[in-house]
Amino acid sequence: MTFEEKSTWLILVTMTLVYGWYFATVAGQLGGTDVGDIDYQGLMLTTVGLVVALAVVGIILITVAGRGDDSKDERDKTINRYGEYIGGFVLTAGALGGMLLAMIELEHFWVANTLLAGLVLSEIASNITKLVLYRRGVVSW
Amino acid sequence: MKPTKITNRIRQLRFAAGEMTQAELAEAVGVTRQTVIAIEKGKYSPSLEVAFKMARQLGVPLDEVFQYPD
Repeated sequence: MTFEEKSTWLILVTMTLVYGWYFATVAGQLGGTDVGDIDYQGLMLTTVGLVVALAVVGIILITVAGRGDDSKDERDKTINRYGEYIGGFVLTAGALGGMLLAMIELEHFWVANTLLAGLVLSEIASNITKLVLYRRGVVSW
Repeated sequence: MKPTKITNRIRQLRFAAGEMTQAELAEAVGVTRQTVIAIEKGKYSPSLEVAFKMARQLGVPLDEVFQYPD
């Protein structure tokens, strides 16, 4: 497994776990509380910081385990491009969703969380696409 | 993803070239070993530049490395 493939796994697992926990926690408060009273901002910023910190630590560990080999070649770049292309569609959908919710003047809670969900889902879609291509192959001829 | 019709003889040519390993070929061409494995299995179509570099390392013309059926 190349450094890039390991990094892709790392980002996918980290984001799924951390943001899965965040959305589960926030959704758990929806029942009995008015959305305007849900204190999601601190938790959201904490999870963003946590994902970045875990990703940095994980990348360092992968690099050390691979004896410093962080080489990337044209296949990695091609796979990355396909992944980002797919992720871009999801990101656009999330941005449009957030824009729509802002236009109909829904609570900031919904707008912020829709935008975050778009970002997270786009990363997940992008990384799953990359892993599928790493396993199944990418043939452009 | 559509499978490629292009086949290759990299594996045989590596053995013919002094039992060159995938890692040695990868290093000489400037790609990862996993990319050489993917190319051998027909799971990745390399750039023309990498294809030419492979042929040069294996000491044969390009069309002895990659073939396209009639």
